[in-house]
Amino acid sequence: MENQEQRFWNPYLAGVALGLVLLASFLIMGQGLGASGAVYRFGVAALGAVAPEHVARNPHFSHVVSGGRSALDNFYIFMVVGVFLGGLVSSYAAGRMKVGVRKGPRIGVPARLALAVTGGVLMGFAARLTRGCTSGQALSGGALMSAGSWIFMLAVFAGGYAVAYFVRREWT
Amino acid sequence: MMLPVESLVEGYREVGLVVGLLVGFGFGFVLERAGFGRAPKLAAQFYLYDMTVFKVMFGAIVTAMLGVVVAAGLGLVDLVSLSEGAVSATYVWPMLFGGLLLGAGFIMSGYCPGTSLVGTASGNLDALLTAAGVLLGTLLFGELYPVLEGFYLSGDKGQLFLYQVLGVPPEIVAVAIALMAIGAFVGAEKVEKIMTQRIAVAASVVDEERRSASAPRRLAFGLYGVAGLLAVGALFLPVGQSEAARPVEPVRISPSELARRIIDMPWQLKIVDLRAREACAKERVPGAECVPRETLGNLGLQYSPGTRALVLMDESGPSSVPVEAMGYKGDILLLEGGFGAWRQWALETPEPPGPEVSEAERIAYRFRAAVNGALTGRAAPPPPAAPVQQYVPPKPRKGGGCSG
Amino acid sequence: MQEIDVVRNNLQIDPHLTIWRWEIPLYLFLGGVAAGIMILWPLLRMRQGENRSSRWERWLPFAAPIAISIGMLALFLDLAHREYVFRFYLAFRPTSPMSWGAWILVAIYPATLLLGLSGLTTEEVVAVNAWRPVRALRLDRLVTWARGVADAHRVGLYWTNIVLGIGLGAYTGLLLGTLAARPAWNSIILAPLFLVSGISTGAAFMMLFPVGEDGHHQLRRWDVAAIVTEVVFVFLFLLSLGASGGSRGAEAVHLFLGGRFTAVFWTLVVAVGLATPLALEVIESRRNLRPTLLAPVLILVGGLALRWILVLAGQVV
Repeated sequence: MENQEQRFWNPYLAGVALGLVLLASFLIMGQGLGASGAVYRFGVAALGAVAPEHVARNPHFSHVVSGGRSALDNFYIFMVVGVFLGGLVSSYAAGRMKVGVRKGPRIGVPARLALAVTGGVLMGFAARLTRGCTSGQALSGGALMSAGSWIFMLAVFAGGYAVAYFVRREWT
Repeated sequence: MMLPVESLVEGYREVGLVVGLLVGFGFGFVLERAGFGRAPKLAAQFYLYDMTVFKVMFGAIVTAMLGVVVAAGLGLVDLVSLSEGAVSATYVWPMLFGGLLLGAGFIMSGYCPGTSLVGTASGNLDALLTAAGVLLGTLLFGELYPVLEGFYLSGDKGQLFLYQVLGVPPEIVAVAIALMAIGAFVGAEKVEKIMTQRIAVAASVVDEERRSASAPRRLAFGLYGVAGLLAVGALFLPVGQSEAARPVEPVRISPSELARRIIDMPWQLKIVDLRAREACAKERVPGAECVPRETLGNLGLQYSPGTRALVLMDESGPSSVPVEAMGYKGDILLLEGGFGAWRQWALETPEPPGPEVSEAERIAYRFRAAVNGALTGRAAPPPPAAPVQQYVPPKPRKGGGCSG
Repeated sequence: MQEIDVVRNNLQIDPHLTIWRWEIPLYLFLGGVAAGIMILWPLLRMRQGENRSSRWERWLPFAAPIAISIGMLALFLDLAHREYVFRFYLAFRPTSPMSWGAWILVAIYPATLLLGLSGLTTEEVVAVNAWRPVRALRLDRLVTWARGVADAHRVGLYWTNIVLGIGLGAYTGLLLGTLAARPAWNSIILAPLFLVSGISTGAAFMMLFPVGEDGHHQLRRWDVAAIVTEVVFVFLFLLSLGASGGSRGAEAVHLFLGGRFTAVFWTLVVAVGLATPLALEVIESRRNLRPTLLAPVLILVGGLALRWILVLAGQVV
């Protein structure tokens, strides 16, 4: 058995490739890439299965299920299924698929996982506030030169650098 | 415009969803190939020893941006309508604050929402928990939405693009961003070199050989150069110019034409009087809304469906379309000469024309006199009598239908 | 199951069929998995010889009757007249696939149990006899006798299972395919389609267990072949719908090519259930990678989705 991992693509070529995927999405569908919106829809769908009236009452929830369509009947849901499959095939083919926890050398697994969940909650909350995450706002909106997307993108980097010092033990 | 393929959104929506699946596959595949399935690789961006995130993200932005601009220049796609369909409006404060928050979450979790899915697909439990956290976070926001709504909607600038802010053509902005990105890439590599030596863990994350390869960099930069030249070239193409931005050349409407449209189809007009409220309250065009110039932004014209033609007027113009109205989707008409011209045309009793006028002028006078009469209650003097015409009985029709 | 059989092919009788919910797809899916095991396990045995099997692999045939039992429980829940279920077994109607199915199901239990017994080692047979329910019901003598029969007719038993497995797999497709009144089911291709899908899901199910490197390798090869065949049959199925049924047939094809089920069908069945696992398995064998459980899981998801979507689609048009 061969277990050697392949190397990552050169970042510039990966950037061009990602840009072409985004361009194809723009030109064919008139839509950008996105991830957090679909995750949100999964959440609303799950919530709707448990407490339908609760979802119907909240305007922020009910707008994704309006029009008689399920929250899951959406372009970005299918895109996210594709993202997952693409990641699966790519990581497996490169010999990178391994169950485990990725972290720096100076942090324990429980602390790393706690930070992962916390960071996820922050990002999920923020992504709703900004109407899109790094994929939908920064990448797609940035490529279309939306002013708000550029404000968002610069803020993301600023926020990351500001907090990086405090979590340096997690990564270095 | 050939693109985007509208039918994939409307009639063949289901096929569009399958296209979404394929696009997503490419997205996930490339993210994983770039190394974005692994948190340490992503987090390295914030310790400056491996700027792959920056390079891939800006590389992608520049590629797609130049691609869209070139496609718009070739007339394949309408840049403005594509942009407005694909991007949310700009809300300054939530985007600024949310961006900071998301950046903090990014460095804590080591992923962003999209890459957490790719990380999960390649077996990383930390990515799985991040994705679960994202789901919880979005629901948390939804639960708190009633409280946060005010902030969520604050700093609303409508659909706002950098080329509107800067007032230069999108092609120029795109090329400028591409040049800045190339400069930043070169700078990033210098920083990487310095930081790699300072941070011990860098050696386990950085693939030095792959990073310092210069052929792919030359290839990528070359591509940007070609696309940038094409984009600038598109500026000089007639087709590109007409499509690049909304035709800001205003359409003018004369008072008589406006009166005719008000009488014929008032429901197809949205008449906005930009003068001060007192002046407008005193006298105005029938059906006009009094919206002083400084409050025009409150109308949210960019969100209205644009099914009615928007008529704008102030005392003597306006001479150009106000910024707040530029996003309006329907026709925009400016009253020629402003309300002053209307007052003169419709509210002052017209002089009857002499007897030697043409038929058209006679009709125009009758119309004007009727409008004036209706609006002021005064009767204008009658027009000169029309020349008497001989009555010619219509010829009996040959053949015949059911009615004979 | 409300009895809908071949004579009810007038559309006016069942204009909208919305009486089949999750039970039937689950039953069809589990039947397919069982059929796959019944076909592949004997083939694997004959290929590998008797002595090179892993412990997990020896117990696998028992999964077939268990799967069938769960499926029949689902079916029973769906029956309109549960108290008359025995009537299936008071008659045999050669023209009714339901009747065929009922009798195949009866034959499957002894065949698969014997198959399972034949694969066990002597110590494992002793362990079975020592198992409390077996002792309590005093089945140990029966087990020992059955083991003797299975040993004596090993090859015959293998082929009996293969034939029964093919029958079961095809029957799950025929069950839908003979309902000519439903345009989306009105295709004889459904029988081979469900059969190869059953073989593929059966292989996937077996690959979930540690069947040894050799066994895994062999199952993967068969699975790749089954998936490729299945892709062909999916196209033939869509083609046959379009070719057979006039405007109703065109309507049925449209369900999968632009209509209501397009996105779920191409996503869950084709992308998740066929293309991705095929890619993973081909990469696995080409690059000699460590096997992943993901491909089998995706195949099982896709197999269930195929039956679910087809059952739903048939009730819409």
